[in-house]
Amino acid sequence: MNCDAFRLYIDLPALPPEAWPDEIRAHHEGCANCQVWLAHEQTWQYVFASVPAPRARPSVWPGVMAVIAARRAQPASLSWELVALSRYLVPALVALVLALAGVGMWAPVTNPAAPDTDSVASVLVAEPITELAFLHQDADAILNQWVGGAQP
Amino acid sequence: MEPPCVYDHEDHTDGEAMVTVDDEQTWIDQAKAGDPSAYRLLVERHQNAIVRLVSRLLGADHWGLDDVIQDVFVRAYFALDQFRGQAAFRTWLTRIAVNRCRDEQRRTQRRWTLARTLAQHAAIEQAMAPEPSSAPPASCGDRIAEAPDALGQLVQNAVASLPEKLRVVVTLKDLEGYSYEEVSRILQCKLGTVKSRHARAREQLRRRLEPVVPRLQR
Repeated sequence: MNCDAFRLYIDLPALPPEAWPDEIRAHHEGCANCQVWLAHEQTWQYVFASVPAPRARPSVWPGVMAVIAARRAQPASLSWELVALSRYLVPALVALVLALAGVGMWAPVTNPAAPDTDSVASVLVAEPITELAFLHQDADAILNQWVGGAQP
Repeated sequence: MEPPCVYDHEDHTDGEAMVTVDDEQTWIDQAKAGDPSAYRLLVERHQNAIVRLVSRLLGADHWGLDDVIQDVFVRAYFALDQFRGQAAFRTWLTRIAVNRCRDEQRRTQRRWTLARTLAQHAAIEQAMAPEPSSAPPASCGDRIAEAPDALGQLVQNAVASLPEKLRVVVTLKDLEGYSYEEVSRILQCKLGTVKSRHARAREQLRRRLEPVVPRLQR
């Protein structure tokens, strides 16, 4: 028997010293450290024993039974698991809707394949292309077009 | 024939009739099968221990204490299928109670912080006010000796002032009489952690109580 085993024995819901096994008693009588330790523990026990016990209460069973019966009577759709889930489900759905709305707002602007033809930007971009096409035309054809257009 | 194992070491039942492990296991099985009268026996057997523990963890004047105690047994009922008998039913139920108390403390912490601060200020002001009598002031030890319940109140206040993790360990180990092993199972943390927290809690308590109980000096 060593000190750890002795203290472990005392830590367990212990028997009074009169009922200790011989091995425990022998260690206690021969170990000054454990005697000091036990005396200190007994002081703590005295201190904690002075704490008043909370007052007893009437049986909680009627209340417990009522709650259990009420929960059993609830439809499955209103079970507490679903209520708990809804705490996370609703915010998640709101976040999803907001995210989709955000993607919907930004998608036309960021998509270069489908420019808005009515916007100022598209006109500014389109003008050089028109001028370039005009310059590539044959000069005679342009004159003929003008003269022909002016003829009565 | 081997005699049935008896909870001979449990004083948590406050002198109720001796109940064997076999009896309790039978009640648990019957309750799992949906027998309310069996669960009633379990509730009535463990009610006093749970009332005492919850009152000590939350404070006897905690608003809604009865609801918390009731909820512990309701939660236990709906979680009975998860009880596999690896630990004693009492340990399992105590774990539910400790967790429920933690939830309750978190829920009410912010609500009560202001009220507690105001109450503490009032108490400090009252303590600092001069005593009305003209007699010389008595030492703290003398005052404790004059009032039989004063030491208990002082210890209770000292325990209540501990951080939550330390307070739970001291409450289970020193006030409720659980062993280190049982506290470790209830809190689901390592034995070394429990011992360490217990030592820290005792040290903090010793500092506060030493003037009143000099024998606590190391």
